[in-house]
Amino acid sequence: MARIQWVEEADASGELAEVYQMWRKAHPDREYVPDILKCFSARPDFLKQVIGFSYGVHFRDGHLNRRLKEMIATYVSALNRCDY
Amino acid sequence: MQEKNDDVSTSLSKTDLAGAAIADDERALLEFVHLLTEHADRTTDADVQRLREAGFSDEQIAEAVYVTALFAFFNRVADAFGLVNPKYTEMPLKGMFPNTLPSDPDQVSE
Repeated sequence: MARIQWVEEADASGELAEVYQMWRKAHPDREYVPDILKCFSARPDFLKQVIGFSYGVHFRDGHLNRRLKEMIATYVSALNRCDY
Repeated sequence: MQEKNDDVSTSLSKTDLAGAAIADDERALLEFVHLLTEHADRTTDADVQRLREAGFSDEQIAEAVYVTALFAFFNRVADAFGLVNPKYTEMPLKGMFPNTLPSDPDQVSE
């Protein structure tokens, strides 16, 4: 259970439900919305932007390829002692 | 190839940059990432110049900064919310591109 309250998918309504649904449609292979995204449920509008900018900068090749970006993500998270 | 990349991921997830089998330019970039993550305020012109000399364009350096900062952001949020349940490791952003990176046709190195 998260330390700070968030809204589960089953309890989501309105804009939040729409954003969760949008994420699920984009990731049909996933059974649930990632916890890291639920952390932003207090601000559905911000959650939408978070999804947009993270996928835009990290999950696409840009000036750096995804392999290098993934290496950066893994290394930063380890340095921050955060398990991903 | 796959195995080698998994090793890189394992080394980096233990913050073992020295032990990661990566190219010199990648190592230079990750050293910069380390600096940004732990002592961003100590970044100097020389640090950036070193990356240019390693072959990175300013656009690439800028994007490395964005990704480094993006994950610092997610790490802080995750820590604050106390994300420790088992689902966590399966799914966050990293799960989108697990250890399949070398399989990408455009990512296979020489």
